[in-house]
Amino acid sequence: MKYITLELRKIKKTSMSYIIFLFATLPILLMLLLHITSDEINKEFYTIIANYSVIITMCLFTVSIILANYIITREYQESTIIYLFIAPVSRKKILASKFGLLFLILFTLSIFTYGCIFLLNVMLGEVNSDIFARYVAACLSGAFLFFLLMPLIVAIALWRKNFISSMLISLVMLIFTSPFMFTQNFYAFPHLIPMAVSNNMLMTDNKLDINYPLAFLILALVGCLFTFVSVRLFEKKE
Amino acid sequence: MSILVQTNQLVKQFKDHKAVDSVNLKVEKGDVYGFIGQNGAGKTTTIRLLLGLLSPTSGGVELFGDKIFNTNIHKYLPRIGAMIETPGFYLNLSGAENLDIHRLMMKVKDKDSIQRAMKIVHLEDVGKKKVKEYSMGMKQRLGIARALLHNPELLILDEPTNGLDPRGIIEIRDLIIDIAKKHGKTVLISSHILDEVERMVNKIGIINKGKLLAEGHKEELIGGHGKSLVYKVDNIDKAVEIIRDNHLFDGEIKVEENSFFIFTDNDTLNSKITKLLVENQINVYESKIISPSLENYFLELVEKGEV
Repeated sequence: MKYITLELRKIKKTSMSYIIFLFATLPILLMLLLHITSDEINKEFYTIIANYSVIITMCLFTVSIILANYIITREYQESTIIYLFIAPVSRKKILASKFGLLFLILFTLSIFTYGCIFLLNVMLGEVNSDIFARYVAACLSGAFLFFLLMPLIVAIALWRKNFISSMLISLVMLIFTSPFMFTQNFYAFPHLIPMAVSNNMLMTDNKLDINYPLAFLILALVGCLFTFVSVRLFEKKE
Repeated sequence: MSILVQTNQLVKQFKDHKAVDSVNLKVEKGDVYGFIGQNGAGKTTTIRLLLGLLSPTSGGVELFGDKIFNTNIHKYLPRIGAMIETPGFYLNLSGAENLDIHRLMMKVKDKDSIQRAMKIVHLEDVGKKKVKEYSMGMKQRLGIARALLHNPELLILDEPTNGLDPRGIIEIRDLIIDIAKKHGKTVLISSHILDEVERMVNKIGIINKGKLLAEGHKEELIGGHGKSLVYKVDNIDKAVEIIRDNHLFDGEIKVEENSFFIFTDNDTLNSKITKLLVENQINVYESKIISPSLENYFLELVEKGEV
């Protein structure tokens, strides 16, 4: 926990704080805007959320990609990594603290965003226990499944050691494969699974046909594989 | 005297390039060791090997008398303070905040250690200023403060005067001398600025193309090298002939483009030779005694090595 707090201190007063705030509030503002501008038939707030939930998950995914790339590559680009490596702390522990920070921010961000949207839903529409359960499920499943993808993003950042380069790879991967989310083959792109699952939790009809155990298994395997790759890359003495 | 750093036939090979080639260096307690060599000679690679940032291809490193492996390096790191090339900092944080992060990483409980380290490098008044507002010299000093923070026995400074203006170089030099003398630290300092190193160190190791060409106490290495007399005259051949005919010097006389060198420790010979040349109508434009210097010794050693 001590090292996670240190990681948090490192991003204090950086542009990353503003980016996190921006991506936390952007989906809330967009949902509000969609509610204001929608016609009478689709005025029900929860229907808007269910129809456009992909915006929330895209924002969460994008900010987690930016943050993961930033906390890894800046250590190399600002030559601070050497001073972490000559401290009497194992490299695994240093890497674990970075994953810890990602976990903390991802869950906080997810709870904040879904929480605010739920409050808007309370004020602008009708809620019941089923809708509340849907929000909770979308929030927690999204954050948890996105977290399983973080080792993949971290591995790319450790491979490139350059923010722009690793961001381009991660974003290109996301942008060019996102249309597959609405096909039967989306399992081939594990990074689409959290978005698909999270959206399904909020949707009332036209749900995607997802085999949840298989989706979780694929993501867990991806998470384990790239955690191993990240540790190998981080421990490599070069 | 106890040995703090020792390498045994240390080799580091990158693909087909041997960056460090069978290096045996030894730093004893209390030494201010100047590890000198041109850019790309293998200094930084050797230092990275000492700190466990690189794994050796063959050979080994001993720190504080014990052999170092990947598994036990963390036991010795708290006893070493290091600054490697350009010191990296979190630019969004202040100098004191950067040191605090390092304090926690080094598991130092005493928070006052930050102020103490800042005071040693004369940065106590700018601790709250963000590092991105620091000058290059201030960053170098903050790097030294970070290396000193956990009160290490051994300080390893890689090119601490890199990128500094002459005033900054003098400041850092005085600071290192002060740290070694007043605070009793053993210092291993790598540099390619020979003049600066010569003023700071008591022991020297010269590395070139990955090989350690010489190692020893400064006085032994440079002092044993001898003085030389240099003359710039209008007729070198005639001047040398006169010196030989008068048996003033029978040793080797090295002739260059417009001057000649006599290698001797006999200072009085200079006035005798000058007087003799003038008496023989030789125009002497310049005559001087060159004391042994690290620069001369280094150049000669490197040239020999290249031959």
